[in-house]
Amino acid sequence: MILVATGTTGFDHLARAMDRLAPALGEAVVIQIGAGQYVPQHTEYFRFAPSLAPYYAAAALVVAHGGLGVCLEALQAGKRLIAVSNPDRHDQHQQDLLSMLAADNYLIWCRDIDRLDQAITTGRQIALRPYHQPECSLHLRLREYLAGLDAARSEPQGLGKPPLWRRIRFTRGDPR
Amino acid sequence: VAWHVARSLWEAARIVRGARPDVILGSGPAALVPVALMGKLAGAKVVFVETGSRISELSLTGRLMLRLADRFFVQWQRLQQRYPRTVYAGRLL
Repeated sequence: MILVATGTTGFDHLARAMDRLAPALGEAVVIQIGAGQYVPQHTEYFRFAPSLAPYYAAAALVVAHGGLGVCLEALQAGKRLIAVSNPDRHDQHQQDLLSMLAADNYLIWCRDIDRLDQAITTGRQIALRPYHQPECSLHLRLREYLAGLDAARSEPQGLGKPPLWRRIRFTRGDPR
Repeated sequence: VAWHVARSLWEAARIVRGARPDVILGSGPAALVPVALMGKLAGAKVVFVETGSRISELSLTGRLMLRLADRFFVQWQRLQQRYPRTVYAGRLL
């Protein structure tokens, strides 16, 4: 099965292109269309799901918009990924993400949606680099930072005098 | 626009006065900026986590928060190298 993920806002261009290609692909296609206007005629589709995990599990190939969540989820699920950046978005950050991931050979970046069929052919064959999630220590670093603040506060000088603003405008009752 | 900014700063001041935070932790959306600004004026520490979808440039919210935040986390090493004041500690996703 080929999973097509267009994000929550939808990406009609991609849904339409995949719907048109689907009959020739020789494989079932399921399209997540989000809030998109276009309703696929030739494939199964759905708008939203609490998690795409079961769809990734069933998919041999994922075709997605350039959203960070979908792309990293598909790569972490070990799926072959073809990503199409959505030009309708207000900035170019999807291109930025995809160009980097494509340069590292984690995915196929389809820059021209009219050549999506070629990208799919390539994506089915080519060897891609497995993606490994870097370890996230954000929670530890946050805890460390907060502990540092607590320690500073319990020292005689504390965090320094509270700023003037706090004393005149924001403090009610006794200041801490 | 000016009216909106004034209005949101006023609302933010009310929120900050009600909650009296020691630390304000925020991510992504620009709605954070007025709250962080008012919180900062009221003596709170501000911690910001830039959205993971930014790889080589900060978002507008990120650029504003760079001046405000006491601790600024980014989710890609490349972004950390570009903005040395920030801290990279892996990705949430």
